Amino acid sequence: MMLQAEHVSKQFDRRVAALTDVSFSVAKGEFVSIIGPSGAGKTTLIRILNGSEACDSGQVILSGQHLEQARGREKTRIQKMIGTIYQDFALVENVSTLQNVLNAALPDMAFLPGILGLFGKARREEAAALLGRVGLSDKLEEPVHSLSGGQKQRVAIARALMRHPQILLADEPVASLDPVTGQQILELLKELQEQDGLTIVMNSHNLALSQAFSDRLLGLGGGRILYDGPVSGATEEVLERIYASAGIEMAVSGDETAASGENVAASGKDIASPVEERK
Amino acid sequence: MKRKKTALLWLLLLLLFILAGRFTGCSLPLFWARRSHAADIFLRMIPPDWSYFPRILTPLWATVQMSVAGTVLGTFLALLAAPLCAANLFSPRPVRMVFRILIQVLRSFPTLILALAATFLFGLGCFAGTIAILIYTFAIMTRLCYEDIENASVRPYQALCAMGTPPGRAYFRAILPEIASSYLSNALYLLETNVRHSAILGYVGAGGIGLLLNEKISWKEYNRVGMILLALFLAVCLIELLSSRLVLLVKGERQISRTGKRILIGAFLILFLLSLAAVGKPDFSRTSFQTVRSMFSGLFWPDWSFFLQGGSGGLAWLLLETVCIAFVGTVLGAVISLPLAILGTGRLMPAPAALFFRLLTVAVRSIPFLIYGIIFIRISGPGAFTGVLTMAACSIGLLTKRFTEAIDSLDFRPWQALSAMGVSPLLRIRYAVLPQLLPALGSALLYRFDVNTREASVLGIVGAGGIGAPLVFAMNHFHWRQAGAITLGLILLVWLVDLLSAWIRGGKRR
Repeated sequence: MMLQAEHVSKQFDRRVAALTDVSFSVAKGEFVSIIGPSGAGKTTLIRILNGSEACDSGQVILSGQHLEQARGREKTRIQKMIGTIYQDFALVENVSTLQNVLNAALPDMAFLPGILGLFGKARREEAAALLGRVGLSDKLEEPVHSLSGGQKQRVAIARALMRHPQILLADEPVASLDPVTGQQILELLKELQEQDGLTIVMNSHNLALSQAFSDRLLGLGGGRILYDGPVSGATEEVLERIYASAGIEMAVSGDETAASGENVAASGKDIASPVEERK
Repeated sequence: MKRKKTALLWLLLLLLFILAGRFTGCSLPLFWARRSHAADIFLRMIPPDWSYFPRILTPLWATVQMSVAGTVLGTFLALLAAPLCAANLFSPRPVRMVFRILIQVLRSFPTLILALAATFLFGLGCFAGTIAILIYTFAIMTRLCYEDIENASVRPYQALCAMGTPPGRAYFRAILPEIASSYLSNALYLLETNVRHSAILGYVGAGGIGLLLNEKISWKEYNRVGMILLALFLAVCLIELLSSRLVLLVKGERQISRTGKRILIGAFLILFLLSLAAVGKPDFSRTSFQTVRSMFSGLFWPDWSFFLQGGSGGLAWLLLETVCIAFVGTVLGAVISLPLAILGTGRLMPAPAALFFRLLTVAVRSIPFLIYGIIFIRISGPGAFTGVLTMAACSIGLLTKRFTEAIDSLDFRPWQALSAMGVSPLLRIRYAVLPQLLPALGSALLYRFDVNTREASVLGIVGAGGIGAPLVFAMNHFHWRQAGAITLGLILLVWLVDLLSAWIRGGKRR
């Protein structure tokens, strides 16, 4: 197994649990989408998977190595194998695309050459080649702030690839893009999966795109896994249950619409029922 | 309700102004009666002694070298200290607090006081002056820099950390590019300020042209003083011109080629190395271990009886006087600056007139406070009133500059809209211009008041009241415990003013 999450739980304050007993595994070369309503814990899960956030209990195992116990150098060593892209791209806006991609080489460099930006010819050529791969070969020296949203996400993908990651995590990669651009970005990710055998875990609240591009869906609602199975298995009924968990939160905060109120009534029991059987 | 509150606030400010004016002994009739004395010294400086010019060049160059070396080093150190002060990066809370307190303490002193202290440690000469400028720059730049960091986006930094980049490297590569333009333009502005400040450091024996200036003033060779001031004016003009060009580059409003950039950086490096060469070695021959020890023990075990002493002549009274001087001086400076700013903006005035008033502003700014001090002391005698006048004159430069910028960025469309409706000019100013100007003017005033509280502590050197005289006196006579008490008072005062201005700014934003 490439990535395993075992009984992962996370609580931000005493009352609200962000994640409760989340377990799943991802095989090498798989494209998995985490779907679910806002507040389901999707982003928290990604942050735990790449080590930005520590979980309260449970295990995160990447290629047989425990990320959740690792500290300091050990943790850094595991993090180096993970590439992440984000909804807001998280690029340095004032510098060129090439420099942004080169930043991914920093973990392997000594302090002084690192801060002075002395990356060497080989790294520069690799970064340029990666930018070509994502379709930006004519924008190497362009500052990031002059690019469109889709182009920025391509730079971020090139930066993640620069690490030769064993796994690519994508946190809402198309949420701030228009539909056409979003589709193109997912086509690029799909291509990377098929041609390079890259393992991808993406979270998205764009259900249609998740269904169209991924091999497997992971339904997250109220911090629990409500579905784990192939895209075809996620029927109307299953999806309704996943997305109804948002209705519960709204019911608690007291501003739900009549329609979602019905949903809650219909599916309230199901939430408490055990997670659907895994294959 | 809100209007009532605003009106009340203005009334309160006016009342405070009158009280502070009373307290500092400001008297318009006195000023008017003795106004002829204002020109006395100036007239004696004209014509300047041209033959003296060659003798000025060496110390003037030393002054520039001192400020370049101090500014560059201080700015660089600030780059390293700022991430330790910032709340959104890797610095743990205790480290952050220690560094912030250190910066706040260093920030409380004007360059001259730092230079005086440095001469005790490193002997007389340029080295002490450079150290003083370095520390002053370091404190101010660190503060500005960490505020910028806290306002910058940390997302790219976090992204780099998430892939295993050590925080230091991530800071340099992901945060620095975002704050670089603001950082460099602040540094250039400080360089210019430092050249002006370092011109008077000679007064306490810390090298540069100030030694000469001090000598010529005490020998009453005013035409030579005039020559020095003229040379200083030219130097400040040159640096201001250079820095305004460089700021445009830094902010990306103008582009140059790659080679141009390299030449520029190379030239700057050479200038910096030349400046370093001139700093020289510290002179420890007169520094005794005893002095250093009593200096630091004085700072850590201040004279509490003096600290708590009440009544006139007590510490609290002196501090109050200092604040009042800064407050009244800032307001008077603003009153003079507003018309100067309107006359100096190219949007409202014909270009030659605007240029003339701009040059006038630079001239007013390039004259060291020392000169204003000895001019005004002939009008109002030793005391707080002289301090107020000096402070006002020193505020004009910065306030006019900020006001001009505010006027330059005015949007005239509401003005045209109101005039199309037939609203009278006075009402147009009230409803179309003032709402746009007031926030900028207010924040400039607040900032200058903050600076003036710190700078007011040097006025004592020219006998112009406030906390400076006792502080310099105590330092020169090695009364370190008393100096420690005053220092502590000064730090508390600056901190209070800082809190006050942060509170007002926060309130304005709401």
